[in-house]
Amino acid sequence: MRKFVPVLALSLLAGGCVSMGGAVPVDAEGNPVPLRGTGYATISVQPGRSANQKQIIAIRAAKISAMRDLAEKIYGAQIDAASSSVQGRMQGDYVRANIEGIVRGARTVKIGLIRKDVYEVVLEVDPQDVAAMRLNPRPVYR
Amino acid sequence: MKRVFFVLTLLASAFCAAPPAEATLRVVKGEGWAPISGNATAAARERALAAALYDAASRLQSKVRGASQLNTQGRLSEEMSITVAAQLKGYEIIKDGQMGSNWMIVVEAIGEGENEGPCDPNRRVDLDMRHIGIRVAPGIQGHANAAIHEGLARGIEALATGGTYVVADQRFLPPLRGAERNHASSLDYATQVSGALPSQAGYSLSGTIIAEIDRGDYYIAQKTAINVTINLKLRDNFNGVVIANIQEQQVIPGSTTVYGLPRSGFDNLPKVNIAPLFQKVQAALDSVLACKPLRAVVIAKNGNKLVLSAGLDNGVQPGDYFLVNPKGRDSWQILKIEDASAGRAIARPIRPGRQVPVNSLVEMLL
Repeated sequence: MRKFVPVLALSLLAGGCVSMGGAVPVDAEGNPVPLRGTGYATISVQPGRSANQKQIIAIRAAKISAMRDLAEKIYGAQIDAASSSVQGRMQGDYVRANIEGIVRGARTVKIGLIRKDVYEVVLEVDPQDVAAMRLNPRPVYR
Repeated sequence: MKRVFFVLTLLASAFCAAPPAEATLRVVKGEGWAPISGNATAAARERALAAALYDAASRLQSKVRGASQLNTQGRLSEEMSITVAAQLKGYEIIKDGQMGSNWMIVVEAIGEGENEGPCDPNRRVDLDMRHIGIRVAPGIQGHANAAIHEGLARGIEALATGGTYVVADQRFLPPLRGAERNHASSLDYATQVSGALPSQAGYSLSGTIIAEIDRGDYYIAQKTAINVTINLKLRDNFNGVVIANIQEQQVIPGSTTVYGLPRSGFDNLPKVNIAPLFQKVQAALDSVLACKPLRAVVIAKNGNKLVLSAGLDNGVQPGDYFLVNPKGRDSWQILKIEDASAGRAIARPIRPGRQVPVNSLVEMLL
Protein backbone atom coordinates (compact mmCIF):
# COMPACT_ATOMS: atom_id res chain seq x y z
CA MET A 1 0.00 0.00 0.00
CA ARG A 2 2.88 2.36 0.86
CA LYS A 3 4.19 1.88 -2.66
CA PHE A 4 1.18 3.62 -4.08
CA VAL A 5 1.21 6.52 -1.68
CA PRO A 6 3.85 8.62 -3.51
CA VAL A 7 2.18 7.88 -6.84
CA LEU A 8 -1.10 9.16 -5.48
CA ALA A 9 0.55 12.15 -3.88
CA LEU A 10 -2.20 14.34 -5.02
CA SER A 11 -5.40 13.00 -6.35
CA LEU A 12 -8.47 15.00 -6.93
CA LEU A 13 -11.77 13.44 -7.69
CA ALA A 14 -14.68 15.60 -8.49
CA GLY A 15 -18.21 14.47 -9.07
CA GLY A 16 -21.11 16.67 -10.00
CA CYS A 17 -24.44 16.72 -11.61
CA VAL A 18 -25.64 19.31 -14.07
CA SER A 19 -29.35 19.93 -13.73
CA MET A 20 -31.51 21.87 -16.12
CA GLY A 21 -33.46 23.88 -13.57
CA GLY A 22 -37.26 24.32 -13.69
CA ALA A 23 -39.75 21.59 -14.51
CA VAL A 24 -41.26 23.10 -17.66
CA PRO A 25 -39.19 24.76 -20.42
CA VAL A 26 -40.36 28.35 -20.98
CA ASP A 27 -39.56 31.14 -23.40
CA ALA A 28 -38.47 34.68 -22.47
CA GLU A 29 -42.06 35.65 -21.69
CA GLY A 30 -42.61 32.63 -19.46
CA ASN A 31 -44.81 30.67 -21.89
CA PRO A 32 -44.23 26.88 -21.99
CA VAL A 33 -42.35 25.84 -25.12
CA PRO A 34 -41.34 22.43 -26.50
CA LEU A 35 -37.84 21.23 -25.72
CA ARG A 36 -35.64 20.59 -28.76
CA GLY A 37 -32.67 18.29 -29.18
CA THR A 38 -30.34 18.33 -32.18
CA GLY A 39 -28.07 15.58 -33.45
CA TYR A 40 -25.59 15.31 -36.31
CA ALA A 41 -24.03 12.38 -38.17
CA THR A 42 -21.60 12.09 -41.07
CA ILE A 43 -22.76 9.96 -43.99
CA SER A 44 -19.41 8.80 -45.34
CA VAL A 45 -18.26 7.13 -42.12
CA GLN A 46 -21.38 4.97 -41.80
CA PRO A 47 -21.30 1.23 -42.53
CA GLY A 48 -23.30 0.15 -45.56
CA ARG A 49 -22.85 -1.11 -49.08
CA SER A 50 -24.65 1.60 -51.01
CA ALA A 51 -24.88 5.35 -50.68
CA ASN A 52 -28.62 5.04 -49.93
CA GLN A 53 -27.97 2.66 -47.06
CA LYS A 54 -25.28 4.94 -45.59
CA GLN A 55 -27.67 7.87 -45.83
CA ILE A 56 -30.41 6.02 -43.93
CA ILE A 57 -27.97 4.82 -41.27
CA ALA A 58 -26.64 8.37 -40.91
CA ILE A 59 -30.18 9.61 -40.24
CA ARG A 60 -30.56 6.92 -37.57
CA ALA A 61 -27.22 7.91 -35.99
CA ALA A 62 -28.18 11.59 -36.00
CA LYS A 63 -31.48 10.66 -34.35
CA ILE A 64 -29.65 8.80 -31.56
CA SER A 65 -27.44 11.84 -31.07
CA ALA A 66 -30.51 14.09 -30.89
CA MET A 67 -32.09 11.73 -28.34
CA ARG A 68 -28.96 12.01 -26.24
CA ASP A 69 -29.14 15.78 -26.48
CA LEU A 70 -32.76 15.68 -25.32
CA ALA A 71 -31.97 13.31 -22.43
CA GLU A 72 -29.16 15.65 -21.33
CA LYS A 73 -31.50 18.64 -21.42
CA ILE A 74 -34.23 16.81 -19.51
CA TYR A 75 -32.24 14.94 -16.87
CA GLY A 76 -28.88 16.72 -16.88
CA ALA A 77 -25.48 15.03 -17.02
CA GLN A 78 -23.33 13.40 -14.41
CA ILE A 79 -19.82 14.87 -14.70
CA ASP A 80 -16.90 12.95 -13.24
CA ALA A 81 -13.46 14.47 -13.42
CA ALA A 82 -10.16 13.26 -12.01
CA SER A 83 -6.74 14.83 -12.06
CA SER A 84 -3.57 13.52 -10.51
CA SER A 85 -0.08 14.90 -10.05
CA VAL A 86 3.09 13.49 -8.57
CA GLN A 87 5.39 15.90 -6.76
CA GLY A 88 3.63 18.82 -8.33
CA ARG A 89 3.85 17.41 -11.83
CA MET A 90 0.62 16.72 -13.68
CA GLN A 91 0.17 13.05 -14.48
CA GLY A 92 -3.36 12.47 -15.59
CA ASP A 93 -6.45 14.51 -16.27
CA TYR A 94 -9.77 13.24 -17.55
CA VAL A 95 -13.36 14.40 -17.71
CA ARG A 96 -16.32 12.06 -18.26
CA ALA A 97 -19.93 13.03 -18.83
CA ASN A 98 -22.63 10.39 -18.39
CA ILE A 99 -26.22 10.78 -19.47
CA GLU A 100 -29.03 8.36 -18.64
CA GLY A 101 -32.74 8.75 -19.02
CA ILE A 102 -36.00 7.64 -20.53
CA VAL A 103 -37.33 9.95 -23.22
CA ARG A 104 -41.01 9.81 -24.04
CA GLY A 105 -43.06 11.50 -26.71
CA ALA A 106 -40.17 12.78 -28.83
CA ARG A 107 -41.19 13.65 -32.37
CA THR A 108 -39.03 14.46 -35.36
CA VAL A 109 -39.23 18.10 -36.41
CA LYS A 110 -36.50 18.23 -39.02
CA ILE A 111 -34.27 15.86 -40.95
CA GLY A 112 -31.92 17.52 -43.42
CA LEU A 113 -28.49 17.81 -44.92
CA ILE A 114 -26.60 20.74 -43.47
CA ARG A 115 -23.50 20.08 -45.56
CA LYS A 116 -22.80 17.64 -48.35
CA ASP A 117 -21.92 14.88 -45.93
CA VAL A 118 -23.65 15.75 -42.64
CA TYR A 119 -27.20 15.01 -41.60
CA GLU A 120 -28.99 17.02 -38.96
CA VAL A 121 -31.99 15.71 -37.02
CA VAL A 122 -34.06 17.87 -34.68
CA LEU A 123 -36.38 16.21 -32.15
CA GLU A 124 -38.97 17.92 -29.99
CA VAL A 125 -40.80 17.03 -26.75
CA ASP A 126 -43.92 18.82 -25.46
CA PRO A 127 -43.46 20.88 -22.27
CA GLN A 128 -45.94 18.80 -20.25
CA ASP A 129 -44.01 15.63 -21.19
CA VAL A 130 -40.77 17.28 -20.10
CA ALA A 131 -42.35 18.18 -16.76
CA ALA A 132 -43.56 14.59 -16.30
CA MET A 133 -40.11 13.17 -17.10
CA ARG A 134 -38.32 15.63 -14.83
CA LEU A 135 -40.58 14.65 -11.94
CA ASN A 136 -39.03 11.21 -12.18
CA PRO A 137 -35.38 12.23 -11.98
CA ARG A 138 -34.01 8.74 -11.57
CA PRO A 139 -34.87 6.74 -14.68
CA VAL A 140 -35.95 3.19 -14.01
CA TYR A 141 -34.44 0.53 -16.23
CA ARG A 142 -36.30 -2.73 -16.37
CA MET B 1 -24.14 -6.28 11.37
CA LYS B 2 -25.34 -8.14 8.32
CA ARG B 3 -28.82 -8.29 9.79
CA VAL B 4 -28.84 -4.52 10.40
CA PHE B 5 -27.72 -3.94 6.82
CA PHE B 6 -30.46 -6.27 5.56
CA VAL B 7 -33.12 -4.44 7.57
CA LEU B 8 -31.83 -1.06 6.35
CA THR B 9 -31.89 -2.30 2.77
CA LEU B 10 -35.46 -3.50 3.20
CA LEU B 11 -36.50 -0.18 4.71
CA ALA B 12 -34.78 1.78 1.95
CA SER B 13 -36.45 -0.31 -0.74
CA ALA B 14 -39.82 0.16 0.94
CA PHE B 15 -39.41 3.95 1.06
CA CYS B 16 -38.04 4.19 -2.45
CA ALA B 17 -40.76 2.02 -4.01
CA ALA B 18 -42.56 4.01 -6.67
CA PRO B 19 -46.37 4.00 -6.71
CA PRO B 20 -47.88 1.82 -9.44
CA ALA B 21 -48.04 3.82 -12.63
CA GLU B 22 -51.22 3.92 -14.72
CA ALA B 23 -50.91 2.98 -18.35
CA THR B 24 -51.82 5.79 -20.70
CA LEU B 25 -52.61 5.72 -24.39
CA ARG B 26 -50.93 7.86 -26.96
CA VAL B 27 -51.15 8.10 -30.76
CA VAL B 28 -47.79 8.47 -32.49
CA LYS B 29 -46.54 8.66 -36.05
CA GLY B 30 -43.56 6.70 -37.30
CA GLU B 31 -41.59 7.09 -40.51
CA GLY B 32 -39.41 4.40 -42.09
CA TRP B 33 -37.10 4.40 -45.09
CA ALA B 34 -35.28 1.55 -46.81
CA PRO B 35 -33.09 1.54 -49.94
CA ILE B 36 -34.34 -0.52 -52.89
CA SER B 37 -31.64 -2.81 -54.18
CA GLY B 38 -32.36 -3.93 -57.74
CA ASN B 39 -36.03 -4.78 -58.18
CA ALA B 40 -36.56 -6.05 -54.63
CA THR B 41 -39.24 -3.54 -53.73
CA ALA B 42 -41.14 -6.03 -51.53
CA ALA B 43 -38.10 -6.56 -49.31
CA ALA B 44 -37.48 -2.79 -49.16
CA ARG B 45 -41.09 -2.22 -48.19
CA GLU B 46 -40.85 -4.72 -45.35
CA ARG B 47 -37.69 -3.10 -44.06
CA ALA B 48 -39.29 0.35 -44.32
CA LEU B 49 -42.32 -0.87 -42.36
CA ALA B 50 -40.08 -2.32 -39.65
CA ALA B 51 -38.19 0.97 -39.49
CA ALA B 52 -41.44 2.95 -39.28
CA LEU B 53 -42.71 0.79 -36.39
CA TYR B 54 -39.36 1.16 -34.67
CA ASP B 55 -39.60 4.92 -35.12
CA ALA B 56 -43.15 4.99 -33.70
CA ALA B 57 -42.11 2.87 -30.72
CA SER B 58 -39.07 5.08 -30.09
CA ARG B 59 -41.37 8.09 -29.86
CA LEU B 60 -43.34 6.35 -27.14
CA GLN B 61 -40.42 5.45 -24.96
CA SER B 62 -36.65 5.30 -25.45
CA LYS B 63 -34.03 4.56 -22.87
CA VAL B 64 -31.06 6.77 -23.65
CA ARG B 65 -27.52 6.32 -22.43
CA GLY B 66 -24.58 8.44 -23.45
CA ALA B 67 -21.03 9.08 -22.33
CA SER B 68 -18.29 11.47 -23.44
CA GLN B 69 -14.75 11.16 -22.22
CA LEU B 70 -11.87 13.59 -22.59
CA ASN B 71 -8.53 12.01 -21.72
CA THR B 72 -5.15 13.45 -20.79
CA GLN B 73 -4.08 13.76 -24.41
CA GLY B 74 -7.16 15.86 -25.10
CA ARG B 75 -8.80 13.12 -27.16
CA LEU B 76 -12.58 13.04 -27.02
CA SER B 77 -14.45 9.77 -27.32
CA GLU B 78 -18.23 9.63 -27.43
CA GLU B 79 -20.63 6.75 -27.21
CA MET B 80 -24.40 6.67 -27.06
CA SER B 81 -27.16 4.13 -27.32
CA ILE B 82 -30.91 4.06 -27.27
CA THR B 83 -33.08 1.07 -26.40
CA VAL B 84 -36.64 1.22 -27.55
CA ALA B 85 -39.05 -0.30 -25.05
CA ALA B 86 -42.67 0.45 -25.87
CA GLN B 87 -45.75 -1.56 -26.63
CA LEU B 88 -47.76 -0.79 -29.74
CA LYS B 89 -51.40 -1.85 -29.54
CA GLY B 90 -52.10 -1.33 -33.21
CA TYR B 91 -51.00 0.60 -36.25
CA GLU B 92 -52.18 1.76 -39.62
CA ILE B 93 -50.16 2.63 -42.70
CA ILE B 94 -51.05 6.14 -43.81
CA LYS B 95 -48.35 6.66 -46.46
CA ASP B 96 -46.69 3.95 -48.48
CA GLY B 97 -44.63 4.45 -51.63
CA GLN B 98 -41.39 4.82 -53.49
CA MET B 99 -39.41 8.01 -52.99
CA GLY B 100 -36.49 8.11 -55.40
CA SER B 101 -34.41 5.02 -54.82
CA ASN B 102 -35.91 4.40 -51.33
CA TRP B 103 -39.18 2.97 -50.10
CA MET B 104 -40.94 5.14 -47.54
CA ILE B 105 -43.71 4.19 -45.12
CA VAL B 106 -45.48 6.37 -42.55
CA VAL B 107 -47.53 4.63 -39.87
CA GLU B 108 -49.87 5.91 -37.21
CA ALA B 109 -49.79 3.72 -34.12
CA ILE B 110 -51.45 3.51 -30.72
CA GLY B 111 -49.07 2.78 -27.93
CA GLU B 112 -49.27 2.23 -24.26
CA GLY B 113 -46.79 3.87 -21.98
CA GLU B 114 -46.52 4.41 -18.29
CA ASN B 115 -47.52 7.72 -16.91
CA GLU B 116 -44.93 8.60 -14.31
CA GLY B 117 -45.84 12.23 -14.25
CA PRO B 118 -48.44 13.95 -12.13
CA CYS B 119 -52.05 13.04 -12.76
CA ASP B 120 -53.98 15.78 -14.48
CA PRO B 121 -55.83 17.61 -11.67
CA ASN B 122 -58.42 18.91 -14.13
CA ARG B 123 -59.71 15.50 -15.18
CA ARG B 124 -62.44 14.17 -12.95
CA VAL B 125 -64.23 10.88 -13.38
CA ASP B 126 -67.95 10.39 -12.69
CA LEU B 127 -68.83 8.83 -9.35
CA ASP B 128 -72.41 7.74 -8.59
CA MET B 129 -73.24 7.47 -4.89
CA ARG B 130 -75.69 4.59 -4.75
CA HIS B 131 -77.51 3.01 -1.81
CA ILE B 132 -75.54 3.04 1.44
CA GLY B 133 -77.38 1.09 4.15
CA ILE B 134 -77.08 1.94 7.85
CA ARG B 135 -77.26 -0.86 10.42
CA VAL B 136 -77.28 0.21 14.05
CA ALA B 137 -76.90 -2.32 16.86
CA PRO B 138 -79.71 -2.54 19.45
CA GLY B 139 -78.88 -0.50 22.51
CA ILE B 140 -77.41 2.46 20.70
CA GLN B 141 -79.34 5.47 21.76
CA GLY B 142 -81.61 7.30 19.40
CA HIS B 143 -79.48 10.44 19.26
CA ALA B 144 -76.44 8.38 18.13
CA ASN B 145 -78.59 6.67 15.50
CA ALA B 146 -79.78 10.03 14.19
CA ALA B 147 -76.23 11.42 14.23
CA ILE B 148 -75.00 8.54 12.06
CA HIS B 149 -77.77 9.16 9.50
CA GLU B 150 -76.98 12.87 9.46
CA GLY B 151 -73.27 12.08 9.28
CA LEU B 152 -73.82 10.07 6.10
CA ALA B 153 -75.60 12.99 4.40
CA ARG B 154 -72.84 15.38 5.50
CA GLY B 155 -70.18 12.89 4.45
CA ILE B 156 -71.61 12.69 0.92
CA GLU B 157 -71.54 16.50 0.76
CA ALA B 158 -67.91 16.43 1.88
CA LEU B 159 -67.08 13.81 -0.74
CA ALA B 160 -68.62 16.03 -3.41
CA THR B 161 -65.82 18.51 -2.79
CA GLY B 162 -63.25 15.88 -3.84
CA GLY B 163 -60.99 16.99 -6.65
CA THR B 164 -60.67 13.73 -8.58
CA TYR B 165 -64.30 12.89 -9.21
CA VAL B 166 -67.72 14.41 -9.85
CA VAL B 167 -70.29 13.05 -7.38
CA ALA B 168 -73.90 12.32 -8.38
CA ASP B 169 -76.02 11.67 -5.29
CA GLN B 170 -78.19 8.68 -6.21
CA ARG B 171 -78.47 7.09 -2.76
CA PHE B 172 -82.17 6.48 -3.20
CA LEU B 173 -81.38 4.10 -6.07
CA PRO B 174 -80.10 0.52 -5.63
CA PRO B 175 -76.42 -0.39 -6.13
CA LEU B 176 -75.37 -0.65 -9.77
CA ARG B 177 -74.93 -4.11 -11.20
CA GLY B 178 -72.49 -3.44 -13.99
CA ALA B 179 -74.87 -3.64 -16.94
CA GLU B 180 -75.12 0.11 -17.30
CA ARG B 181 -73.47 0.17 -20.71
CA ASN B 182 -76.54 -1.65 -22.04
CA HIS B 183 -78.81 0.95 -20.50
CA ALA B 184 -80.29 -1.71 -18.19
CA SER B 185 -80.19 0.62 -15.22
CA SER B 186 -81.37 3.55 -17.26
CA LEU B 187 -84.59 1.65 -17.87
CA ASP B 188 -85.19 0.90 -14.19
CA TYR B 189 -88.48 2.31 -12.96
CA ALA B 190 -86.90 4.34 -10.14
CA THR B 191 -84.25 5.71 -12.49
CA GLN B 192 -86.86 6.74 -15.02
CA VAL B 193 -89.03 8.40 -12.39
CA SER B 194 -86.17 10.25 -10.71
CA GLY B 195 -84.28 11.05 -13.89
CA ALA B 196 -81.01 10.06 -12.20
CA LEU B 197 -79.19 8.24 -14.97
CA PRO B 198 -76.13 6.23 -14.03
CA SER B 199 -72.87 7.30 -15.66
CA GLN B 200 -72.04 4.43 -17.98
CA ALA B 201 -68.36 5.21 -18.21
CA GLY B 202 -67.93 6.22 -14.59
CA TYR B 203 -67.80 4.48 -11.24
CA SER B 204 -70.27 3.88 -8.43
CA LEU B 205 -69.99 3.56 -4.68
CA SER B 206 -72.36 1.57 -2.48
CA GLY B 207 -72.20 -0.36 0.76
CA THR B 208 -73.11 -0.22 4.45
CA ILE B 209 -72.35 1.66 7.63
CA ILE B 210 -72.46 -0.54 10.73
CA ALA B 211 -72.56 0.93 14.24
CA GLU B 212 -71.89 -1.43 17.15
CA ILE B 213 -71.36 -1.07 20.90
CA ASP B 214 -68.06 -2.07 22.39
CA ARG B 215 -68.45 -2.67 26.13
CA GLY B 216 -65.62 -3.10 28.62
CA ASP B 217 -65.96 -3.92 32.34
CA TYR B 218 -63.10 -2.85 34.61
CA TYR B 219 -63.77 -3.82 38.30
CA ILE B 220 -65.89 -0.89 39.38
CA ALA B 221 -66.16 0.96 36.07
CA GLN B 222 -67.94 0.09 32.85
CA LYS B 223 -66.86 1.80 29.66
CA THR B 224 -68.72 1.74 26.38
CA ALA B 225 -67.68 2.92 22.94
CA ILE B 226 -69.44 3.06 19.58
CA ASN B 227 -67.56 1.37 16.73
CA VAL B 228 -68.61 2.73 13.36
CA THR B 229 -67.42 0.72 10.35
CA ILE B 230 -67.99 1.74 6.75
CA ASN B 231 -67.74 -0.90 4.01
CA LEU B 232 -67.95 0.45 0.49
CA LYS B 233 -67.54 -1.18 -2.89
CA LEU B 234 -66.19 0.96 -5.73
CA ARG B 235 -67.49 -0.48 -8.96
CA ASP B 236 -66.63 0.22 -12.59
CA ASN B 237 -70.01 0.95 -14.15
CA PHE B 238 -68.96 -0.10 -17.64
CA ASN B 239 -68.02 -3.68 -16.88
CA GLY B 240 -69.33 -4.18 -13.36
CA VAL B 241 -65.93 -5.04 -11.90
CA VAL B 242 -65.35 -4.07 -8.26
CA ILE B 243 -62.12 -2.10 -8.45
CA ALA B 244 -61.73 -1.34 -4.74
CA ASN B 245 -63.15 -2.33 -1.37
CA ILE B 246 -62.96 0.57 1.03
CA GLN B 247 -63.23 -0.31 4.71
CA GLU B 248 -62.66 2.31 7.38
CA GLN B 249 -63.39 2.28 11.10
CA GLN B 250 -63.87 4.92 13.76
CA VAL B 251 -64.17 4.40 17.51
CA ILE B 252 -66.29 6.98 19.33
CA PRO B 253 -65.83 6.95 23.12
CA GLY B 254 -69.14 6.37 24.86
CA SER B 255 -70.29 6.56 28.45
CA THR B 256 -68.40 5.57 31.58
CA THR B 257 -70.28 4.38 34.68
CA VAL B 258 -68.95 3.66 38.15
CA TYR B 259 -70.91 1.10 40.19
CA GLY B 260 -73.60 1.50 37.55
CA LEU B 261 -73.88 5.24 38.12
CA PRO B 262 -72.89 7.90 35.58
CA ARG B 263 -69.47 9.40 36.29
CA SER B 264 -70.92 12.85 35.94
CA GLY B 265 -74.49 13.82 35.99
CA PHE B 266 -74.68 15.53 32.62
CA ASP B 267 -72.31 14.96 29.69
CA ASN B 268 -72.77 11.23 29.58
CA LEU B 269 -74.16 11.20 26.07
CA PRO B 270 -71.36 10.58 23.54
CA LYS B 271 -71.10 13.03 20.67
CA VAL B 272 -71.25 10.99 17.50
CA ASN B 273 -69.45 12.67 14.61
CA ILE B 274 -68.47 10.44 11.71
CA ALA B 275 -66.89 13.20 9.59
CA PRO B 276 -63.35 11.78 10.16
CA LEU B 277 -64.57 8.49 8.68
CA PHE B 278 -65.51 10.22 5.43
CA GLN B 279 -62.18 12.04 5.32
CA LYS B 280 -60.54 8.60 5.24
CA VAL B 281 -62.98 7.47 2.54
CA GLN B 282 -62.16 10.57 0.51
CA ALA B 283 -58.43 9.85 0.76
CA ALA B 284 -59.00 6.23 -0.30
CA LEU B 285 -61.12 7.34 -3.28
CA ASP B 286 -58.51 9.89 -4.31
CA SER B 287 -55.77 7.26 -4.29
CA VAL B 288 -57.85 4.94 -6.51
CA LEU B 289 -59.43 7.44 -8.90
CA ALA B 290 -56.83 10.22 -9.19
CA CYS B 291 -54.90 8.69 -12.09
CA LYS B 292 -57.71 6.81 -13.82
CA PRO B 293 -57.97 7.73 -17.49
CA LEU B 294 -61.01 9.84 -18.25
CA ARG B 295 -63.59 7.77 -20.09
CA ALA B 296 -66.92 8.58 -21.67
CA VAL B 297 -69.60 6.86 -23.72
CA VAL B 298 -71.03 7.97 -27.05
CA ILE B 299 -74.63 8.60 -26.08
CA ALA B 300 -75.99 10.01 -29.34
CA LYS B 301 -75.01 10.48 -32.94
CA ASN B 302 -76.15 13.11 -35.39
CA GLY B 303 -74.47 12.78 -38.76
CA ASN B 304 -70.77 13.33 -38.18
CA LYS B 305 -71.27 14.78 -34.69
CA LEU B 306 -71.13 12.57 -31.62
CA VAL B 307 -72.36 13.41 -28.13
CA LEU B 308 -70.12 12.18 -25.33
CA SER B 309 -71.19 11.60 -21.72
CA ALA B 310 -68.41 13.77 -20.25
CA GLY B 311 -68.12 17.54 -20.29
CA LEU B 312 -66.61 20.61 -18.69
CA ASP B 313 -67.30 19.25 -15.17
CA ASN B 314 -65.04 16.32 -16.00
CA GLY B 315 -62.30 18.59 -17.33
CA VAL B 316 -63.04 18.07 -21.03
CA GLN B 317 -62.13 21.09 -23.13
CA PRO B 318 -62.65 21.86 -26.82
CA GLY B 319 -59.57 20.64 -28.67
CA ASP B 320 -59.09 17.51 -26.52
CA TYR B 321 -58.79 14.13 -28.19
CA PHE B 322 -60.52 10.84 -27.37
CA LEU B 323 -59.74 7.38 -28.64
CA VAL B 324 -62.52 4.97 -29.61
CA ASN B 325 -62.24 1.19 -29.33
CA PRO B 326 -58.63 0.98 -28.28
CA LYS B 327 -58.73 -2.81 -28.37
CA GLY B 328 -59.12 -3.35 -32.09
CA ARG B 329 -56.09 -3.35 -34.36
CA ASP B 330 -57.65 -1.43 -37.21
CA SER B 331 -60.97 -0.38 -35.75
CA TRP B 332 -59.84 2.62 -33.79
CA GLN B 333 -60.94 6.16 -34.36
CA ILE B 334 -59.88 9.46 -32.88
CA LEU B 335 -62.44 12.07 -31.84
CA LYS B 336 -61.74 15.77 -31.50
CA ILE B 337 -63.86 17.74 -29.06
CA GLU B 338 -65.52 20.70 -30.76
CA ASP B 339 -67.80 21.97 -28.01
CA ALA B 340 -68.48 21.11 -24.39
CA SER B 341 -71.19 21.86 -21.85
CA ALA B 342 -71.26 20.99 -18.13
CA GLY B 343 -71.88 17.26 -18.56
CA ARG B 344 -71.72 16.65 -22.31
CA ALA B 345 -69.30 17.21 -25.16
CA ILE B 346 -69.68 17.29 -28.93
CA ALA B 347 -66.96 15.44 -30.82
CA ARG B 348 -66.11 14.83 -34.45
CA PRO B 349 -64.19 11.83 -35.85
CA ILE B 350 -60.95 12.93 -37.51
CA ARG B 351 -60.04 9.73 -39.36
CA PRO B 352 -62.06 9.06 -42.50
CA GLY B 353 -64.08 5.91 -42.95
CA ARG B 354 -64.29 4.68 -39.36
CA GLN B 355 -67.86 4.62 -38.06
CA VAL B 356 -68.39 5.07 -34.33
CA PRO B 357 -71.55 3.36 -33.03
CA VAL B 358 -73.58 4.73 -30.13
CA ASN B 359 -72.58 3.23 -26.74
CA SER B 360 -68.90 3.04 -27.75
CA LEU B 361 -66.47 3.58 -24.91
CA VAL B 362 -63.98 6.37 -25.53
CA GLU B 363 -60.87 7.28 -23.57
CA MET B 364 -59.13 10.63 -23.38
CA LEU B 365 -55.73 10.76 -25.02
CA LEU B 366 -52.68 12.50 -23.60
